[in-house]
Amino acid sequence: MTEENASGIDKALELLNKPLVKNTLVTVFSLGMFVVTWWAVAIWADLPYLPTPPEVLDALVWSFEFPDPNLGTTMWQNIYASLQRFILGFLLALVVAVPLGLAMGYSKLFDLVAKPVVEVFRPIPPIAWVPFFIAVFLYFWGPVMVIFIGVLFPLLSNIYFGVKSVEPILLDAARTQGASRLQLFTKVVFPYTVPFLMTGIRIGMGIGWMCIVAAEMIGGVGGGIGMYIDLQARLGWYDRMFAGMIVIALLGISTTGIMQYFENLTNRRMGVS
Amino acid sequence: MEKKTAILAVLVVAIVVVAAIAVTMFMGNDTDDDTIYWVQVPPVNQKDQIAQGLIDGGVSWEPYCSDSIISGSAHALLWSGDFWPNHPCCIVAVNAGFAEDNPELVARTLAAHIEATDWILDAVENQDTNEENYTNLLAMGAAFSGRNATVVAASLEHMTLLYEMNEQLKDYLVNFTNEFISLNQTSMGKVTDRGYSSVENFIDVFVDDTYLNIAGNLTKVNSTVGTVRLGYLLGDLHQFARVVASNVTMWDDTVFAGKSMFAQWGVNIDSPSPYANGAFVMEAFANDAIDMGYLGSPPAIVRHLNVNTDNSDIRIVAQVNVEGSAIIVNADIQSIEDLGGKTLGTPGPGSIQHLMLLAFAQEHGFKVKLAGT
Repeated sequence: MTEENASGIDKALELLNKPLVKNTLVTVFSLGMFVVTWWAVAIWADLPYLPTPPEVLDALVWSFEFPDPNLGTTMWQNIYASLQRFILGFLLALVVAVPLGLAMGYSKLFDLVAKPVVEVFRPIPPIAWVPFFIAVFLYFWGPVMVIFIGVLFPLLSNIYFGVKSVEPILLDAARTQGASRLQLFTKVVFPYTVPFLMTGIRIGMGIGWMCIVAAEMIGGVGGGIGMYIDLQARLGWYDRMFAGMIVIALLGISTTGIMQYFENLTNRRMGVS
Repeated sequence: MEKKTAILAVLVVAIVVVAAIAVTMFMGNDTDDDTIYWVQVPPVNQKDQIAQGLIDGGVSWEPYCSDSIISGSAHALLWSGDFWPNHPCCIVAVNAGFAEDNPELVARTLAAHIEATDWILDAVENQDTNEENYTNLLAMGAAFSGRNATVVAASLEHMTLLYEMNEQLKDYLVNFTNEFISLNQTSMGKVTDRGYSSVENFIDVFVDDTYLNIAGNLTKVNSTVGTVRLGYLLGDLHQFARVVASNVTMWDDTVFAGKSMFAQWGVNIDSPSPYANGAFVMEAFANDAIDMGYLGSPPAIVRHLNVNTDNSDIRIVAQVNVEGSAIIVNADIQSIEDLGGKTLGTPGPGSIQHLMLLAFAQEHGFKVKLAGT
């Protein structure tokens, strides 16, 4: 072996040891294994319910190129419609959960009043609300409200937990230095809660995407990925159904990925990690 | 610096997103007068949504059409029979393997279906002379559908119950299948994958009157010949024959006291919970949860072709009803021309009601679009 070759191998090994390269390779390997396994199982099982990866890829490409003849929408339009609902539902949940969670965590009286109500509503699955929301909030806001209710509780729980876990020593220290109740809240409690809020947002986003099919099953106007999946499942086009599922997965990964970045950033800034 | 940039980026993204959403929402969607808009609304909800003004009308089946009309929230713009005379609707389907293994059992189930259908037709025809049967019939329909006797009586006037299968049925099913292919709900490839050479060949095999013919030669028995797991639709009065054939109390004064018509023909019926729509009945076939089922012909066709398994290999062995659907609309719509720019609820693509809306709209020069697109 020449010296040049040896140094080339060393460099390659060094590159492989870099965390980013290593993680990327592992991720690619893991996804590759998943696709191969899926492919093998699909061929072995030979069921119409389980199409092979190329079949799903074909359906995926087709869904972006051509409008579905029944819905009249391309996958782009479906993504737009779902994203619109998702963002509105999510923002609504944020607007409600942040003050509610902070108030519940900070004020014992408010906690006593609000907690029983929250606990009653929390276990109800978002899908159970669909008929009510469609009837009351109509076709546009109905599905938005389903996402709202799905996102609300994880967000609320995280913020509440954040406020509750403020270390007493911090509060005592601030009090000793003469901080008012408002100052305690704005200077200690709220900043302490931000990392928990970011985690809540990330988890809530994941759950928001889980609600999209339920939200769009009845009365989706303007299309939507959930509506697309529901229709294809009803007609027995499982490759198209899986294509829709992959789109939701990708959107979920993208949104939670972005949030993960901001969460990490916040955590670093706030000295959590 | 890093923090400020991040905050700025989040703010900019949030503002752009919210602004974009606000703009699209407030711009709304312009409606075209040459277009009828649809939104997926289960028939059971159409009455309330029309009354609320959420939709301008709906395409529905009985008893929901009559329910909306009698409640005053809508009137019928078009009965399906006026557009497609004698069009097929619900049918009895059987798993092909089950039928091959149990021809007599399938035929006996159909014998009960035939007797129940004849009993209903007789009760309706002789309602003045045999009031008891008619009252019984309406009570059974009301209990099954959750609607009152007036709605049930009106429903019976708008649909024809039957069991025979004829060439007209096959012609309609060939046309429906071709429509489903053009709508990409199924494809010619799926037809050939199932082993059929053409759509006509598919329908020839798919509609199988063997068991109906055997049923005509059977007599009632005192024992149980076998068990059939039978699927059916929730509250759908098209499937009235199954309701009557399942009733165990109306024979109390006869030798068949306590026995349903199915039991009188030697069939023990084991029904899972009713299904919300035909696609779910087909899913029950696919999951081997049922052997026979009452469902609409469109989901039977589409899912038999698209889900190529032995379990989904079914045959249509009897008709259940023809006609019995309608376009029902609010008082603002008085003519077909008024439908332009309006929104109608339908059970969704893949149902006969949706298909009828598409065909009807095309015939009158309307485009059909999903609401909000």
